[in-house]
Amino acid sequence: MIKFVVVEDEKNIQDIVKKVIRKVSIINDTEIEVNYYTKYDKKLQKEIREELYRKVYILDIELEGSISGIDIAHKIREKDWDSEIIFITSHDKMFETVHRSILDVFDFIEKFHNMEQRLEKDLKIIYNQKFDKKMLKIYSRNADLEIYFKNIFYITRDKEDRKIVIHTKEIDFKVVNTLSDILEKLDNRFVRTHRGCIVNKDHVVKYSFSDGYFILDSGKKVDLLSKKYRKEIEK
Amino acid sequence: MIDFNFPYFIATIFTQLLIIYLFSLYSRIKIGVKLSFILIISVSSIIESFLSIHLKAPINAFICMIYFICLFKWLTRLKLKDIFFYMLIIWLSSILIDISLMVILNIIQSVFNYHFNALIVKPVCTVILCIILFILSRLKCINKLIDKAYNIISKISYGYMYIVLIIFLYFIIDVIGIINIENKMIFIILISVVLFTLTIIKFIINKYEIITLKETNNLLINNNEFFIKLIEDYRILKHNLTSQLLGIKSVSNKKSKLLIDDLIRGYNATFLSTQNIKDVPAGLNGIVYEKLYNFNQKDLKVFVENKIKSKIFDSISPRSYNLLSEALGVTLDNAIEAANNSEDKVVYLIFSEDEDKIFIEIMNTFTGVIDLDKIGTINYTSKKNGQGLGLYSLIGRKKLQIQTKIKNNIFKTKIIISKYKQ
Repeated sequence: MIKFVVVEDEKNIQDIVKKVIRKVSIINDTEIEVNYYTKYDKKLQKEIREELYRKVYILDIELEGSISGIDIAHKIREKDWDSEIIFITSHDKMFETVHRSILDVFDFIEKFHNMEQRLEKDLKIIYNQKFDKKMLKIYSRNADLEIYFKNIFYITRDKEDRKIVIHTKEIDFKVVNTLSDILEKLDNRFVRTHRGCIVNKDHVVKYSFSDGYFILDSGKKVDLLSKKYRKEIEK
Repeated sequence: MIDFNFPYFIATIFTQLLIIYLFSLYSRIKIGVKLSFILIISVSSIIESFLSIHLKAPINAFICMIYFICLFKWLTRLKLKDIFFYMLIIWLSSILIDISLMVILNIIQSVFNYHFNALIVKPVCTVILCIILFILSRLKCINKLIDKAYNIISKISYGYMYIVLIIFLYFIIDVIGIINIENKMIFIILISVVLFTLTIIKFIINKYEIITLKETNNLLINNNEFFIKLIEDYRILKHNLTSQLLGIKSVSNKKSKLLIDDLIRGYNATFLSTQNIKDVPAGLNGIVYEKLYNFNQKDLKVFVENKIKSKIFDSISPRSYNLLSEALGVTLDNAIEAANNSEDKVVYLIFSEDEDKIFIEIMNTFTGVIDLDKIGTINYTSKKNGQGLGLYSLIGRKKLQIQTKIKNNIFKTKIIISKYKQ
């Protein structure tokens, strides 16, 4: 079941959101629950704390009272990074980019510009992605690290530092751990391709067992593919 | 002729290397082997071999301790507090194993009525002790235990370090079993006098510093208010100038229009006036202005949110305020530079408070390679050109707490400082 939490103080916008949710859930044949709020009150606080269901929050930014939609998103993200957040807004592009990154916001939808179509498109994508929000969590003395599984491209061993390197699109994270320990924390989309490499199969576009390499969807070629792991990879 | 114990010399080299290895392992700081390093180890081992014969055990142990403190300070540049901690861990574990070995040897001697040669037993026991220490250091549970202990100790202020230091000195003299009761009393009295004097000196310095800091802070507040007024004047001037230029543009020819467009773009290059920086508590807003103004990068996206309602100078002491300013300056420098190298170029600042504390959260996007265990250690920087001060300069400061977290491509630093006790 998916729970929709709509925080919107304008009745006509609430009606549009209600219509789109109903439409998308019928198409996807999914059981849903929709709760509506007009401001940040005790009931909404309880809703945010509840961890039973995965949720899709649809938040208006300007709300009655001193708590805005952005503040509510901060409260949600204090603990919950599994749920999706969509903002209904009239803010500029810079405002969007900042909050999209910091609060992991799925989308910003303009209130008076194709709102219905955009929301429908977003909800369809969310349904199809099946809430892929699993996270790899590593705690160290100096800093804690949390990365979505989907953001990890591959993991290699760093012989010099006796560490492993988690490769993502923009950043490589060096962590004290072993590949076997890390593999245990990941799900079945991750496989060993080499004694010193684990890859996220979802990001691989080509395996060349004869030449010992694989190519990622980012275009990067990695020369760490061993025939020994072929069966496991092709499962 | 001067006596020289060759087996002890070999054992000393072995011990020194192991202690350095253990220190490097526990503190997670890589210690490189240089010529000067080998020379120091060799010379000090020769000296130690002489001293072991000619000096009494407690004096020898004391010299060893001073030597290792200097050696680790030179090799790692760690804070004395951290050096004491790791040495204490190594030293305590060695003492425990040493005592166990002595007990075993005594049992063997008494059961089999066999007397060992002291010159051989000492180095052999040292080597066995080193091997046991090495094996123990490879155990994950031991490392985890040390990490936990470090986390507790790192939160303890310097005052408590006196106690650790005394225990450290006391153990050195007492465990070896050389001093008698009378000397122990003199030692305790001496330490109490030193502690008392240190406390009095610290108290006087504190009082003096607070008066000076209050005066400096008042001056800074005045400067800050003047700076904010200037920024506001500049914003109005820019707005008026842009409007006038747009007016001229409407009656200009093509070439003039291009020129005016260029001028307007130039005026809009600075984003300072678009941010809510002036809402941030006095003084801290000046730091944010200054850092962003110096950087002045067009496509950097900065978002500032202030939730502090109370007057900051009524909430925290002048010293805490200075500490908070320093922490904000260092962290913001790091955040701006790291964000600028990333794709999204985002810096997000939240100023907030609760009943007991003031919080500043600085979040930024970043790129490149980041070593999780080196964050907050000396000489480590995630920035490309390695400029500026790292988090290291802030960690371990009294009353200041720094928390770091990485979530996907967001680096989050939280600065926490305690308010006055009500």
